[in-house]
Amino acid sequence: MRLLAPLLLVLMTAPAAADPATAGGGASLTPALRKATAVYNHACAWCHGKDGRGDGPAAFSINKYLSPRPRDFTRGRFELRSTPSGELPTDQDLLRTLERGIPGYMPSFRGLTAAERWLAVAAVKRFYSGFARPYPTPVSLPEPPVLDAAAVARGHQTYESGGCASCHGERGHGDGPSASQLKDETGLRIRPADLRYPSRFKNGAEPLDVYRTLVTGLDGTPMPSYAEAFEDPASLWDLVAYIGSLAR
Amino acid sequence: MPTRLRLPLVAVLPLVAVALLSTSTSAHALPAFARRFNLACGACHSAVPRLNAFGEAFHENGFKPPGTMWTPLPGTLSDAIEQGMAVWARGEFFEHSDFARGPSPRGGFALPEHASIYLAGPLTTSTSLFVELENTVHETDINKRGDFVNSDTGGMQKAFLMVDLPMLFGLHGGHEMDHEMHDHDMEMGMATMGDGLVGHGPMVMIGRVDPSTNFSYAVDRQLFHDVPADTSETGFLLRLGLQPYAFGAKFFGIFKRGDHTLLPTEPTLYHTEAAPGIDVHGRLFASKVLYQFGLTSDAAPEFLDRIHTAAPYAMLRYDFGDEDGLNGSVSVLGNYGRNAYRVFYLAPAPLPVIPLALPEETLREPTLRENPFPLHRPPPPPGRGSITAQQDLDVWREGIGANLRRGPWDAYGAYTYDQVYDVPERLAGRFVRRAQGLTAELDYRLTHSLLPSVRYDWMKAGGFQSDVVFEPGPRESQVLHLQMRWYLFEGDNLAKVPIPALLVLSLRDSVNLTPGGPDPFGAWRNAVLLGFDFAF
Repeated sequence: MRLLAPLLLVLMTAPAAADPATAGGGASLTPALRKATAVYNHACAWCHGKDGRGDGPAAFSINKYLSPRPRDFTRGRFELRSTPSGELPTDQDLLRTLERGIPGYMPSFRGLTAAERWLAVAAVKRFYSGFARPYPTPVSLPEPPVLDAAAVARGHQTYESGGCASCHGERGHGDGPSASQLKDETGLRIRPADLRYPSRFKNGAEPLDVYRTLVTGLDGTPMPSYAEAFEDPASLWDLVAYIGSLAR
Repeated sequence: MPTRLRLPLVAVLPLVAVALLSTSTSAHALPAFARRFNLACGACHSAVPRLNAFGEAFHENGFKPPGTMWTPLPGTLSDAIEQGMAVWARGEFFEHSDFARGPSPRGGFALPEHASIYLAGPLTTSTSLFVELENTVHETDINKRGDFVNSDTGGMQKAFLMVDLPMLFGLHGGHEMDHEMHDHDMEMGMATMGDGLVGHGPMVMIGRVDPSTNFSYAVDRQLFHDVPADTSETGFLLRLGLQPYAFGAKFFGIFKRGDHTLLPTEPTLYHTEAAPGIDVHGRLFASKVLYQFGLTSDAAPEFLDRIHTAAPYAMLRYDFGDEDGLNGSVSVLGNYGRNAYRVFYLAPAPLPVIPLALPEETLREPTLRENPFPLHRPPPPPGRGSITAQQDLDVWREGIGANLRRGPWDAYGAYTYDQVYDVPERLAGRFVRRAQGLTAELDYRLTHSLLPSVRYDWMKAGGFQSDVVFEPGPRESQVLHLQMRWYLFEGDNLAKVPIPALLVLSLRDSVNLTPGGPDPFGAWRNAVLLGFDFAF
């Protein structure tokens, strides 16, 4: 009996282990890419689809009527980047999203091993040919200054003058006058962030994360880049301070 | 409908300790997971509590995101409570019923039928835990006077340990990746077998399990609440439970081995809501085939109740279709319950023991030409006197279920055929050995928050055709249910409700398509129910 149980287990699992590495075309891949595709298929394809089109078996029921839907990697449009608006993300950007997840929508995949996370990044990049070109330079993210009460006060003025309230509302509740009309690039309704809950920010809640979001924007959504919006670059940090002050 | 009293949840909390030592999983909506992984309900559920493909993969991976080996444990006790426990209350808070005869229309408010506390999550890379403490199992039973009464109980519902065997034995390791590919440490292989969307498991569940969570038409994932049987104040059964007929016991006048009444509509055997047992399931052939086998024991509701019998089962499910278009699954089931049911009946009193007037040894010596004493007394008159006899019955259930999905449409159907064995000859002509049940449901996702549904149930019941328990009458029934569910919030509107939680209202009308007679199948005509689900 002691031998029978492991033997039975092996017999039951053998057909699964013998399956091809990929859902399609696995034989033509290099061993490394085959492994990357396998990791992707295990962890990502449920939502993003085996071809990276955001049409995995679980995609239908994820926010059918609201943005964000699972990302279609083949379009080469990525929200969460450290690169200028319109550019592709860096590997580190993709890895950061994979490790952090997206609050409310995508779990953290820290449970993958470090190597598997990098393989998943490699697999995602295969879906868009633009990744074969050299990466753009990430935007400069300076060290945060002291975000004191004066910065908050200046940030409040920046918030009003920059038109943030039109979407995020006067008090940052995500209820600005245009909030109900906002749509993403696919035509789905999208809600502006409620700034009272930084833990729900898709691109991270730390001051540096918020600064990065302001500079790069969230491509594909109504959130634009504010990299060139203010004459004084320090205004963005004031804005970060003000947004931080809204947190509950 | 009388207001039902229920045990406070705190009365069952001490059982948490027992649960921790005993068992693991099923597939209920669990906001604790959403809190733990910072997800909206829609990440795992197409319509709570129904799981989508990601949710199934999450469940099969031991309550971790698919493909991942581990998940960070909660750092503090408060985190553990917030991220590991959930509360779910559901049921009807108003019912209005019409009856063809007997009582006048009845209506009233009631407390929800079910309120549960869940404790669940991964314990190790290979083992996870699921415990459900439910404060009421609305049980209809016969008391010692022969009256039907409703009673509420509390305690353990589902509770089991789920073990990923390949992970436990280190057989995963699907990828022996080269260390030099990246400058990172390689730790272990993936948490699923093979490569791609392929096989998985076998997973073993031990404890109080609900095997039917893997069936194409899973009982506890239905969006129609089960409505318990209705009894009158005078002990009559006015209406059987409004439950899926396909999964009911389907026989009149049978009892569980624990001597509890088993009503024809109560789910049992493979489709039990929870029973002590062991379940093995996994996926093969690129995950297209789900296999499952195991056994459950007596379906009596009490945890650690006397375990009388074992009901082994085997199930195969085949998933098919284009994930973006038409897709679905087909399941076939075989289930055998040895001594699973019990019947009580009246049998003629046996002949009394013949008293011997002489020592037995003397009879062996036929030396007496004339017996000076009579050898026995005259027997009692024929047919005089009777006793209550009992007999345990075996049962065989075979069934097929299927679902089909396309866009917002979601259709389900299941048919089961039950047959009992060892029926006493005394019951010939009075007890029908075969029964059938059919349940079909169609849902349409009208908007993000509105879900109309329709369900049809048909049963051709077996068992006693007339006895002292159930009045003679039709043993065939058809019921049509119409429902609209309104998801007030589902936890994914994080701008509005920044916590994973769920609140749903439902309006339902159940129509008896075969009314007539005093039989509980036919005595009621219509029931309008207002219900809700709240999960946090």
